[in-house]
Amino acid sequence: MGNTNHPANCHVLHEQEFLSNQCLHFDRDLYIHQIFVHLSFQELFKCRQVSRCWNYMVLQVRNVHVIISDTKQIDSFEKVMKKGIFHNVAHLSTPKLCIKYLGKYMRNLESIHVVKRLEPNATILQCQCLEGLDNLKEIVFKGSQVVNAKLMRNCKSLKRIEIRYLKNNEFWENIVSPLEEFVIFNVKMGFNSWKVLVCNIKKSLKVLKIGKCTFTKLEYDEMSEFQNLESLTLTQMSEVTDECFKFFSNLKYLKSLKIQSCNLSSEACYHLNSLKKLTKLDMSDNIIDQLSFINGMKEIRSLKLMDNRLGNEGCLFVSALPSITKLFLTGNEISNEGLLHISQMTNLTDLDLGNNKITSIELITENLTKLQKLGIYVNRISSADVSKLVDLRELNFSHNKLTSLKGLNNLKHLQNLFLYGNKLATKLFTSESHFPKLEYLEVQSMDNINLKILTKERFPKLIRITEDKYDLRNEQLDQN
Amino acid sequence: MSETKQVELTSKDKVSFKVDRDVILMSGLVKDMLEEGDEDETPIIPIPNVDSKPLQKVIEYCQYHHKEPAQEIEKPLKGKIEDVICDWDKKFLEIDQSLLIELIMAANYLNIKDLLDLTCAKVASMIKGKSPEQIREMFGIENDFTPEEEAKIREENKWCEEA
Repeated sequence: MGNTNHPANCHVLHEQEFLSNQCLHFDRDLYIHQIFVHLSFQELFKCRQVSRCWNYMVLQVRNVHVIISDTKQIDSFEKVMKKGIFHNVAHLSTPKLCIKYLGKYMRNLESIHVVKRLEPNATILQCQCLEGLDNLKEIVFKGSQVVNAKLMRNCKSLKRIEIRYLKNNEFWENIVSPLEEFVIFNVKMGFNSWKVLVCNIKKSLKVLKIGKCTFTKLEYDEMSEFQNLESLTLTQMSEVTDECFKFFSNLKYLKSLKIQSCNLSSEACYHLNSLKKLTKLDMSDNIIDQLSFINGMKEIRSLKLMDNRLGNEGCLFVSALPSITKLFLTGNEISNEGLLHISQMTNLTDLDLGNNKITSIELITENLTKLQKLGIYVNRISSADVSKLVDLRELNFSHNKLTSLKGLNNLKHLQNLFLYGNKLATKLFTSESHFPKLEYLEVQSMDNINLKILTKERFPKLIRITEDKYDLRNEQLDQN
Repeated sequence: MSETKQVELTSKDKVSFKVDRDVILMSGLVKDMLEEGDEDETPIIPIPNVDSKPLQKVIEYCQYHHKEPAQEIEKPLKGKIEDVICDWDKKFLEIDQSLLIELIMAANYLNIKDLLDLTCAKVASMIKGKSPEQIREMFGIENDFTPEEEAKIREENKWCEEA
């Protein structure tokens, strides 16, 4: 179908008909388009009823996102679609893809999401519906059944596919478009399908995310084919053995790697040591106790190793990486000794050491003066002086044993301050206090604040103050 | 330290405003004009499409936001515009509708994307929840549909109103 041929009963007005009309009270299209982009599709289509001019303008809006939330709506959507009013719609979300003639009436569709919110794995993707969608760049499908999978082969402009729950094998081999991003979660595909798929997308793929799948060593081995991969995420993968990760030595261009909740040991990590280009590494929630593998990763800027078994020796390896500015070591076994190393990392802007075994943070507060975010919650610190951390935006000191906190008045950039669960005996603020940016404040008790000090002049942005309500002698605090 | 360089803007109704150069560089139009060249002490830039009242507001906006960049406004708006913008912007938008629309035109002409976004989102927020009749009233638009046309569009819209 050509661009100028609207279906017979479509009543798009011709340009000449409305040019003479006065549209709004100001000049036409430019502004009205800028306004329409802020409206949901329901609000937008409602605007068609305002006037001929508005009707015309609405139908010109690109990038509209139409959401069908109920399977019962699909029939009426299909009927309306045939009137030709969805030619410019770019995104469609539907609980079931079984709508015919999409390619004819929604030829500018760029992305389709097939997701049923309440029964996330009980929906259908009918590949026949994809015919003629030459601009389709993205499919997100959360469901269990694909019909006519072979027709996927016609989708040649697809760049991104995200699939969850799917169990049928024949689908994967029909993905032939040069994908840039591929996301799978909780799917079964089998080695042969995976091999064919990898072969089809190995050159173009830049981003790969896999979660909750059971991969064998053979399947991991195939991943060495993704030589242009820049970002890889593996989450909740079961049965990851030390041998599985040999493929990493081939992923030379990998910049971002996340392996989360995979029960990963330090031995398996050994295979990562060839990844010299990494700038982001996240290995949270594993059982890593040793970090010699990160030695050569000199370009890492953001490192997350939350909830592992790292001790002070781990901090030594971390501190040898020169480019790190964001470091998250929450939930490990770090004590004061580890801070000797971390305090050398003077480029840090974000540091999280929550839930460790630290009793003094003098080394940090004296040396890491570029910090903008500091999390030191659930430790055993009894006093601190933060006067040198003048760039701090966020300070989280919750659940320590603080009796004194000095230097707060110096923190002119502070936006969030968390002090739940401490033993502060003195007032936090004085008559010199001025916090021009402070928005959120959590205190152990209102007794810590001299209410007379809390004026609009001193705290112009303060939105919320909360007081510690619950009993702190539970769980983690007991261990301290 | 050199003193701050200034620029003089002249509105359609011939009112002059002296503004710090750094501030008014938020305007893509002014920026382009200044880059074109002359190294005058205080260059004079005519803004022949904008009256002094909206121009004054534009300058006010730039003076605040050249140091505090505006946060992007969500598209589409989920609630009211007031829920997603800062206090300063909320106050700034407490103006009558004709000035608001003049501001949209000025922001567009002067090429200040964030201001155009803010003012257009405000109008979108005003449209939200209103009936077509109320929208016509708000903008003084005449209903030029025939009853048949109107009924047809209403019929076509039914499915999404059910959602």
